[in-house]
Amino acid sequence: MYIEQREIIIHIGIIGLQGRLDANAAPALKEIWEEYASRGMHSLLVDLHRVEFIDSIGISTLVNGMKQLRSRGGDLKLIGIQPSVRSIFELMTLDKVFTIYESEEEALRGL
Amino acid sequence: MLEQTNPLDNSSADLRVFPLESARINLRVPARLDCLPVLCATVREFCATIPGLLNANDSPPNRATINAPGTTSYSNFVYSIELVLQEAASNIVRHGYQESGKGFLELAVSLPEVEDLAGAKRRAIVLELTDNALPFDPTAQLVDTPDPLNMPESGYGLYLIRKLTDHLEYSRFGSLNNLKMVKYVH
Repeated sequence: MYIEQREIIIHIGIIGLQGRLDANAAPALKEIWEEYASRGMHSLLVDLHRVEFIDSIGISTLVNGMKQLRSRGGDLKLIGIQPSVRSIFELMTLDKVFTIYESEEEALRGL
Repeated sequence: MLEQTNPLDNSSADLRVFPLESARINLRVPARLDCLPVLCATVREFCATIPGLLNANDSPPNRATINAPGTTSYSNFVYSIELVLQEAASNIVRHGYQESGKGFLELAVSLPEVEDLAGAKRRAIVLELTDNALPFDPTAQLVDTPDPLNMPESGYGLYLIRKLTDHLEYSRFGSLNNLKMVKYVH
């Protein structure tokens, strides 16, 4: 999995993911959550436009990051979930848990 | 002299007369997480050779669109199949083999006609996973529906397998586990 990190506003970061978000990719993503926590980041936008596949470990990793950030008063929000991935989120009622935006522009307006 | 044809070679054949019963793939890989994308890609390719499976308008399937990185045009059906396989195989590697890096995973994919619970004949994609890891029967586990107000950080795998398949069957033969996962195509 390819991971691109940017800090768009102080204490708010954006991460663009590409490829498969699965058990193989999860450890790298968990390291990023910890890195952002150590830097005092409050919130993260995770761009999933180019993520073609997410399994339950990938989903758990996103839930883990969201819980960490919410416990510090922040949040982890998602951008651009592909239709097939969204159907799985809906099956698991995760669409009621995460804030999901269609685009980065929409997400920035929602901050 | 009779002309011999390979039923899996559809390069020039009419895809509408593809012999579905003969479609079968067997693949054995090391029981490692980094091998699971190979299994998933195999199933994806298998699905892409079946006319009408991906979408009523895909005949023949548009492989370039389906497989192009970043374009992500999986149909929900193919995504479900790939996800079910990933979840089952990942459970075997992580829990059955405890990520030892030893052992194997054998996948068989086929497209037989099966009887559903009402006795009607249905075309189905069947995934069979065989391994020699610790015994584990996923059909015997209690699976809770995820609670959005108290979202756990794990335990989604079996839930997804149950929700996305039409039939699950587990058998233990000697030292081998065999998990059969069936999903009706239409």
